Amino acid sequence: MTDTLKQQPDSSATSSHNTDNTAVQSITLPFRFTGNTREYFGIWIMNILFTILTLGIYSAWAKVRTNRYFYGNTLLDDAPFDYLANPIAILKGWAIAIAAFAVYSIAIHFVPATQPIFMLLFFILLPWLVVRALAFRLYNTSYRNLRFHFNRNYRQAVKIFFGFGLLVPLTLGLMIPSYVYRQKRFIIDHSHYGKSRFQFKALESKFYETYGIAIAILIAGGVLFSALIPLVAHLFTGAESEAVANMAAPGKHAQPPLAIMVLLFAGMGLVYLFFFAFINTRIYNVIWNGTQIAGNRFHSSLKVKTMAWLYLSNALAIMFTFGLMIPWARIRMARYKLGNLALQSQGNLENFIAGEKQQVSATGEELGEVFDFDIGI
Amino acid sequence: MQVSARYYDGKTSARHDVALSLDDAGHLTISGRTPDGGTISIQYNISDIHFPPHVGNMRYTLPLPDGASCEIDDYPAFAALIAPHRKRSLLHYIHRWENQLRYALLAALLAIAALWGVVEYGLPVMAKVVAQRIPLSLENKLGEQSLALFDKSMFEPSELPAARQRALLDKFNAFIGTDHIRVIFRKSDRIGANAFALPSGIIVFTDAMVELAQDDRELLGVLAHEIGHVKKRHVMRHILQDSATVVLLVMLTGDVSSAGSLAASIPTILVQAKHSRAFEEEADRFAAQDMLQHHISPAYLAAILKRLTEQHKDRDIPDFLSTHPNSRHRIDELNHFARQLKAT
Repeated sequence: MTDTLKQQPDSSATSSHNTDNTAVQSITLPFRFTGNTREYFGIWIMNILFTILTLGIYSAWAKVRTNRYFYGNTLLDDAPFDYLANPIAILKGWAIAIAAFAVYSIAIHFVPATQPIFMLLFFILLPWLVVRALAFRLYNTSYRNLRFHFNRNYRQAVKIFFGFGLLVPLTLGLMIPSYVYRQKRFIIDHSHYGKSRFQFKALESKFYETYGIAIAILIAGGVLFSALIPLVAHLFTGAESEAVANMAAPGKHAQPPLAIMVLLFAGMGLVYLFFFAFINTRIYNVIWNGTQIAGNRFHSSLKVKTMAWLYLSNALAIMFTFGLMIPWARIRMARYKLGNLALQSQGNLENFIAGEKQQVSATGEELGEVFDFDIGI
Repeated sequence: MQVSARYYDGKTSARHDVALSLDDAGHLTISGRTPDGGTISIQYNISDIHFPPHVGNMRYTLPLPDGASCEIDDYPAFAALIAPHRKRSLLHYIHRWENQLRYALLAALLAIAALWGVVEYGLPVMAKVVAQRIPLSLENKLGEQSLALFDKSMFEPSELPAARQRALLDKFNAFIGTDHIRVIFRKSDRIGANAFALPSGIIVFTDAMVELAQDDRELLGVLAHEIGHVKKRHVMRHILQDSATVVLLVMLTGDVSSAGSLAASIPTILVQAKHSRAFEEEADRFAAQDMLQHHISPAYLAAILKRLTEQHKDRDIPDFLSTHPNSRHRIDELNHFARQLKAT
């Protein structure tokens, strides 16, 4: 391993954990999430209230408070993470993003022909946006008072998001697993904690495997339901009128009760939900399980079934309470995800050392948020 | 009084248990031991320390001027320790409110009221102010494009006799005066009797609308209503309000799942429908005043509106005028204006 944990040169506190001791047994350090719904509800509702009252200005402070709450309640080895972003920096980025959005929405209203130009512009800017957003987010994340940071490699970003992104439609989507793999590898391989670099060791074949199984699930579900719907339809018409007459054209003039049809389509919806939950969960596990830093490995063991249930119940709860259960939904998602993440550590986490400081503006991050694309792992 | 904490120097990830204490001269002292038996003893001037507002009841991280930091478990004890030296900002109070259920519930009610106020009154007023400052000529391109689109999809050339068109245009132009308004006639079986204002001051009358009128003064009333839409910048205000509502939603929902945003957007759609009714009423008021100035009774507009409503009752096609459920109310309002004219 080339990137072993570097020792602090003048540290006297590390004698028992020197590099010659790395053969020691690895210990499992679980992540813990200590946030709770009642507390977060208060933060969330105050954020919304002040954001409305200040016509959006407060949203920068709201974002910082939300992130500080979630980061601060994420504990590894009994030490919390911290979010250090300056709300003013976020506000500036937000103002730029809002201005860009205003120009965009007015332009496409008045000259609809400009829409493709904006799409192209957005596509060209994407690598830059991704890199800036990651740099901002990581620089403002700290653990044990050491910041993370993202190595801003624009050339590589252009190659992946632009070059590789073009290959995806050309290959009719066959390259999607490879595209996702390269994105994640790019993000993790350029991330640092202090001076130590993260390394991405996941296999590309795992991505193909996950997508392959997911598509098999989708096809199987699709076949099952496209057979089941006319079958049920047929059963109902058959029971009412001359069964023999309808046998000839099964399901053709079917008029089964609405409730049954609704149930069947809901079943189809569940198949889609399971499909997305499967991809998200498995890829999430693959990414974390393939990530290392200074000889420490991560281990994530999310279950597809649980995640699918969380997605479904969260969405329903939010819908039926007009958004009031958003805090509950976010907390239980964070609790489940972090409760199943652990670090297999060699020794302890005392010996990381700080990297250089580099300030980043929030423009990329805020543009991403206003134009609604999600960056992250 | 002492508060226990963990100290990180900001140069390494090493963690040290320490105690924080404050003396009368305002010196914050951090003292503890390193694992190898050394001692930590660092003193800061409390006026050099910036205390970030706390969030929730988690541990409090105190950044120190030299890049080090302390992680404090017992925030209330620490807050009591530094209370005399701390400048209170709004965020400190927000932190306190966040932690009390009754304030949170009060905030929830206020948030709903404030959201309603902003969407109902705030954004329309902002859109109005901004729209009046944007020159009408900016809409030219949009006007031409929407006309071209309608011409392709719904309109056919007018079949009104050329002489009738010319006679009407003469009357219209006399009514319009110096305003930047262009009236055109089109035939459309799908739309039926209707008139509408496109961006940049293009006003379209359908043949059926012209035929529906029993008096040309009724058509002048319709024209005045459409001029009202143009002059009050209703197209621009619609665009601005809709975009602003979207921005507001993005800000509030942040990274909420799309299901949540969908649920949140339903009330917005209802409010927007209400806004377009407000626009109709504003155009009616404008029309009534404009007609009064030309010594034409607003009753003519009321008459054709009534006929139009009755005609649309038989049809099933929703369109501009019939979708407004308050046409009864609008007709009454216009007749009210007409009575004012008689009184004078």
